[in-house]
Amino acid sequence: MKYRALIILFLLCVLCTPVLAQDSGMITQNLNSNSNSLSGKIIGKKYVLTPLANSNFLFPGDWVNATIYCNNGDVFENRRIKYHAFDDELIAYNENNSMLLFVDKQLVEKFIFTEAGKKREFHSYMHRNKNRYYELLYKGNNNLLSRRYVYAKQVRPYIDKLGIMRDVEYVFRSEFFLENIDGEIHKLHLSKKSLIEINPQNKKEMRKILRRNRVVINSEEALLQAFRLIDDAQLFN
Amino acid sequence: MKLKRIVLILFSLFCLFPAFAQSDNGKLLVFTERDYCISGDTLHFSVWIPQSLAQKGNVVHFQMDGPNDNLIATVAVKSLNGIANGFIAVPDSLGTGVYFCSAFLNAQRAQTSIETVSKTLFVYNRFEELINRMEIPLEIKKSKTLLGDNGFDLQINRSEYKTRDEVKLNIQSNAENISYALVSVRAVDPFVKKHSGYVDFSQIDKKPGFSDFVEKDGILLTGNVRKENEMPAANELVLLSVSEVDGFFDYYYTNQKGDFGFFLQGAKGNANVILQSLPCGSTFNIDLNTKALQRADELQLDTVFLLPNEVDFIQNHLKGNFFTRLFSPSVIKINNQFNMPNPYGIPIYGSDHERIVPAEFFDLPDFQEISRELLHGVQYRVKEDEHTFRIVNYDQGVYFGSEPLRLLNGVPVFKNSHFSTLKSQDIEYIDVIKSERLYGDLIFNGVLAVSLYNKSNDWLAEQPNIFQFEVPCLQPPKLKTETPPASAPDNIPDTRMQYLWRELPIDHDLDVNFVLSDFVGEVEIVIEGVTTSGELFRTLKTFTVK
Repeated sequence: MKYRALIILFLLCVLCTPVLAQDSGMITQNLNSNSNSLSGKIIGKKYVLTPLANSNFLFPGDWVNATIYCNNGDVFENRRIKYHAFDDELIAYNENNSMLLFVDKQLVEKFIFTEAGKKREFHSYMHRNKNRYYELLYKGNNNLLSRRYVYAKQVRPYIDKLGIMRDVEYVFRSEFFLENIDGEIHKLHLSKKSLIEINPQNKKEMRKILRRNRVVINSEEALLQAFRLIDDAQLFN
Repeated sequence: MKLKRIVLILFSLFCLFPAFAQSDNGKLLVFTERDYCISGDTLHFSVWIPQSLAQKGNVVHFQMDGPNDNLIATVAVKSLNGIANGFIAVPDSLGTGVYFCSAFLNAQRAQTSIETVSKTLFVYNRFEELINRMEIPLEIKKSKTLLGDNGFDLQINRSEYKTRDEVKLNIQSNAENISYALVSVRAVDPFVKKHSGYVDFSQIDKKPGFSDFVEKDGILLTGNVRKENEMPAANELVLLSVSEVDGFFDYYYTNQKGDFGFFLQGAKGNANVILQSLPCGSTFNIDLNTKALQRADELQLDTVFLLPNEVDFIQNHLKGNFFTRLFSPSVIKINNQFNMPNPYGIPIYGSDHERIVPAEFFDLPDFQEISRELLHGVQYRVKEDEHTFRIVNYDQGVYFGSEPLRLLNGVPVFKNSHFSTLKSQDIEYIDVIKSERLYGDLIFNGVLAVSLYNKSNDWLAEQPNIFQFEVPCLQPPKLKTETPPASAPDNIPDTRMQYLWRELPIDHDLDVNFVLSDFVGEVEIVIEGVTTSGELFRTLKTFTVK
């Protein structure tokens, strides 16, 4: 009996030893053969989803399968992602670790996913010394971009759906930009004037085209239609 | 009846169709600057990649092997527009005999066997006094000869030359079905002229791991991990670091056979690769695979005795080579220094790090002082020879429960005592990441990356399960200079046997001049290449030097 107890104690000590050994600094318990990739790996920072973010900051509504294209040519397909519109970050889901991460923006060239049958393409651009994601709405001689973001708007105190009193409302907004052949980015508004200001020399032709096609720029779709018409006619250059 | 006629016509068309299609035989074709050389020489080669293999990668593996299927030399060269140019150093001690030059792409190794068209290369050992017999393969394939209107017109300004004369060569291309052509001007080796050519081999790779990987602009490095008892180390983690690439390391989770693979994108020159295997408590052995093919069948050789004029040529060639080495050594200026850009453009721990440069602060004598004074949020504790690190989780305001990833010159460190004696003067910079990071499926609870001024990594010897290898990656471009130049002074013997070797433009004529050496005998102008149907061709013209 005594010897049995000694043996059990010894085994327990041996089992505990790995815990005391030098920490490798890496958590490897979820590694498997799917962790291997000869053509690059995704780098990022762990992200913990908060209820606030989940309710207000992310789109699309459901996790979508996207293809992520990196600046070094690596392509990662079938990655579950969402876009964090408040922090302007791409969130990817790491299946092996069941973890979310912000994919390092310097790594990403673009990501593409399909939502409700429509292909959506987001590119990383450097604009005003900030690296941001812009959705590519139209690609032609000039490109029409949109910056989708959520901002905090001060409002009267209210109780939100989680039962918390807040004085801030999170509003989803889109801004539009033109990217010209030289890669310069110009801001656009939902107005005819904004398009004409890009190249005032062609304002007569631009007005004519818009009038002929009965385009009134008061929505994103109308702006897209107008942009397409003007760009096809090469009036922006 | 009518139906029968239609079926017959359709059937005939179907049979004829392959004849209309342009096809290549799916084999890489090797061309060398000459068909013979002396041990110690540098041999330049060119490899043509057929269009059918264009999608299989752009990195060509060239190998030279002996009659006993022993690997002599191997290099990896990046191709451009379907052509890969490179060179190999023929070992100085290589014995006299026939050798074979083959080329393949990594992705071809997925096939059960690779059919190669290997070029013969006759090597004469420069220390041999008399070479009067050689072994040659029983079956040698010769290239097709293009003649007249289907070939090339070679015009030289004279029919006879004296030593050191200048030759003016004009080549007109009449052939329409040429895919690639090279022109070479060299002294005729009468023995080699009879016996050189190509041999078809069926080759296999005895370690075909990662055989379907398409190598593009980089090198695939594969290997195997075994435990102390020589059993495969399955499902273990292998880490790769490359000395000259800071902020980068890679990992691989071994398969059941203990195999691992890494792709070094854009790596040129010889890499100093450091491989480690986890867990730290176990002992492993790591071996790297040499990517080389071996013949599936035994090669049949026949012994041939040389004729007196053939023996004389070789003797004179050896003597001439001796004088050349003595008076005018050929120098290949190559930039063998390793170069590989960080594949991510940023460190693997991200660019959102805090960088501390100790040189900007007061000189501190050890790392404990450095961590106290300069590294906010980093704890370095030493208690009874146990050194531990902890980094604060900036997002949550508490210290991580486990140690961060520690890097020294980009190499993961598992023995913290390596840091203890580092002083401010030793350290170039320290990067600290105070958040949980992911690199693929690896998770780090913070990162502490220290870059030292001394990149020799002497401390590696103390870390267990660490292996250093010098790995040849893509061959950097070469610059060849010869001394003396073509117009050498009269008092220095010019014993060159090769006068010209270059790609031949197929869409316009070529005019080129070259100066002969002191060699007396027959000189041949050889145009060899590939037709659009993947067939080897050769055409030549000889002239005499008196």
